[in-house]
Amino acid sequence: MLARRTVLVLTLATLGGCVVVQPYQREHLADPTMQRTDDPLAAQAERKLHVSREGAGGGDGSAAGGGCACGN
Amino acid sequence: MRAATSLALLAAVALVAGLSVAQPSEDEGERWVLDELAFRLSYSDQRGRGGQSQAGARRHRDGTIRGSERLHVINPIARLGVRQNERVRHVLTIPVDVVASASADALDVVSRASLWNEAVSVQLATTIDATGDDHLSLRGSYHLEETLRSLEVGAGFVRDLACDNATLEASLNASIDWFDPITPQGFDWGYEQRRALNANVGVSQVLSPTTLAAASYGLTRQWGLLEQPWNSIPTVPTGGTLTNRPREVFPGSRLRHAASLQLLQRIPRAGGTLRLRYRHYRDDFGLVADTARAAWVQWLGPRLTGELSYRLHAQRGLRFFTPFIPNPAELPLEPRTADSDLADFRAHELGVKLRWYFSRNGARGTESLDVGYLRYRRPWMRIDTASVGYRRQF
Repeated sequence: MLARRTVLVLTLATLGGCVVVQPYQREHLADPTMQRTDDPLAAQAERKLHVSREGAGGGDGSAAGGGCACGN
Repeated sequence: MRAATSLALLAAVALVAGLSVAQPSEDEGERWVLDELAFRLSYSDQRGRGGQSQAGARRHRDGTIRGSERLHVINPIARLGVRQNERVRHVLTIPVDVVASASADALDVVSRASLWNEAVSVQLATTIDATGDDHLSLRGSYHLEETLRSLEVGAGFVRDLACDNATLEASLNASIDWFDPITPQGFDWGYEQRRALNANVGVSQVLSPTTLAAASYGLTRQWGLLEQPWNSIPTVPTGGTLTNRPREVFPGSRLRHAASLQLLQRIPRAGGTLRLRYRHYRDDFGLVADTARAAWVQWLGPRLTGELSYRLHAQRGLRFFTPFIPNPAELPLEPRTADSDLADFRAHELGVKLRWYFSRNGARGTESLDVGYLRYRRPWMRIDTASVGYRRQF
């Protein structure tokens, strides 16, 4: 069920690919606050906190669990 | 451990030194250039009580048996970005964890082993622009922590679509941990392994000149000794002692799903950006979690931003979670854990951050200094984290 929902979400998102924003319209998209990961090291430090204190960390972009003695 | 830390620092220094003397070679098109430098230092102060700790453990009104989980964490991280040529870029990241006064578990009552715990990782990621629209990535990391060693390798692919208005991403990762488990009773049965395979797919899409959305899904399969062998289960009525407190037991494999959605909305009139993220997680141990995070980033001046964030994590714990065991002598060796991190709970996190941008040639965001504070709170636990970071992109 989860897999079906995920495929549906990904499909809908991909369908939006027909939207084309021209380079000269991307002033706001280029703003530092609009980056998907605006601070990689801060994101890594926060992820470490959540991986060690919650049971649901990781699994998107890297393996869930393991990697350190504190991983759940 | 100190030797490993020194080796990692030496490697980083050698890399920087090598860059400083590297000469451009026009014939080969090679031009090793440092293009990013970042440092971050954070300090966390954790206060709370949990089922794993035997430090002052006692039975509480809700029936749980908890000891102090007070600890301090110092977490410096360094990141170097190096462009080898027009198509190849490398990023070296070295996080270090120093955990002081870690929670006293069964062994610590005797050895005090967790009073000071150090860990260091060396992570190297390489991206290759195969064509104008296709990008490959390779990454590897090695982690050293007391008796644990971990190796992770991965490969990824990103395709830009629709004139860079969308991306399609896929990656595969594999990891293996080696560690020397010691049971709460002090038995050492030699080195064990924990392995994981992970696959991810994702898309991102520009929805308008001010809106960006992304979605991803990751699947992880783990095998091996998945429990923390030094974790133990309290016994009633006293909480147990070194000799009769049984160890945690997990099944030998675990299948984990994680799906996330992200939406970034710039609001020019307000001078700010709304950052939203939702994540759903579930696995075959019965753990289900929903996490939502909302952040507002406001330009407070031409060079200063302020960020206010809130994160809610709602977790339904493992189906074999138990806060205590009444009669360990008659208990079969079936899955069980009393780890408070794997129980039912809701966690709230509030964060504030100020970031100062040093303007370089009018380019906004190429160099910045930030200070931040996070408070993480859940039943029986509170973590305060202060951080300072510097980043420069050349």
